[in-house]
Amino acid sequence: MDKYVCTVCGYVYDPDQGDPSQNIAPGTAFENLPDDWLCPECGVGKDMFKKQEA
Amino acid sequence: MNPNDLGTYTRNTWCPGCGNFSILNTMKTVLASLNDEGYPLDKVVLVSGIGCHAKIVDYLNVNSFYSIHGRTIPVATAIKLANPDLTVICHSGDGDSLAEGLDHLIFAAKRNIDITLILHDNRVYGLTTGQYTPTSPLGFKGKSTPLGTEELPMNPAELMLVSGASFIGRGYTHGIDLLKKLFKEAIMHKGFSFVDVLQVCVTYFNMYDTYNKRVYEVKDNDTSSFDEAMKIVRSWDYNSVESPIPLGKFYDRDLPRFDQVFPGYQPHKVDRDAEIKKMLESFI
Repeated sequence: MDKYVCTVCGYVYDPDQGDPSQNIAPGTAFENLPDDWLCPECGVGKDMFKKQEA
Repeated sequence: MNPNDLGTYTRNTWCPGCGNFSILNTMKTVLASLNDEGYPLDKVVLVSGIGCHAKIVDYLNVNSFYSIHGRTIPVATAIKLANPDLTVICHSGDGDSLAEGLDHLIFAAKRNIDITLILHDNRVYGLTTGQYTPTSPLGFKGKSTPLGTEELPMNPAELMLVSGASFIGRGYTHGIDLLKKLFKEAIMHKGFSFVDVLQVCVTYFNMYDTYNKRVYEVKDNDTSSFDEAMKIVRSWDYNSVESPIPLGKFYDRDLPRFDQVFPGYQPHKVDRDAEIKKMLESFI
């Protein structure tokens, strides 16, 4: 599963880790995050993330 | 406990991109973890001042007191002295605690009272749309200083060290794992804990690019050494555009606390209902 980077603050969403601060379980792909999920570090929506280059 | 259970229905009005989200999510996670470890959250009280930071108490479903500008520390001090069993956590901004309330902050450190202060240090007055604060760099151009400031910034971590704070750390809002560690240790620490959080104001002072290039976490430092802590906190003066910016725990000592030695103080249990009835009757 791909990692995604917040283009505003630099936070990296790692599907292996999930997002404990918003009760997102490890193993959740970025594409499967809820539509109202926000960057845990700066509050922007999913549309502000881009796939991390390998 | 699910950290989301600590949220509220209040509409969040921080700007998208604001570092305050990181502090909010960190505090939710830390409080949920304390709850899971058997620490009752009804013993936690949050106190805020005035500024963008202060809205955090509206977004966290625990006891809180939304105080006035610069007065988080006096309110928190009174709460702690009245009920030493409570864990008191202040959320304050750089304008709130380093300008309007600076004297209170210094005295909290001097007394080493057992409360925690999380400084939302965005280095600008965001709520009033962009004026310089005590930690804004020299030359900062804001609405009150269109030609740039003519003063060097304050170094709050250094100030807290020389004032007597027994726990000092610095985090950055893009760095939630370190923030969680710092917040939890600061809350559990007995004595005055100060955590300076480099919290980016994306609207009026966007420092993401600068911080992302320059921050690093200190490792294996001797947190019991005043001199070593001083060396670390002075390695960045909040003004230099070249120095690396240290993050992490800088100082951690077990020192005498004001709440242990407050002269003659004995917390007394009162019959709350009887006292309220007595007070009401005094107005009739």
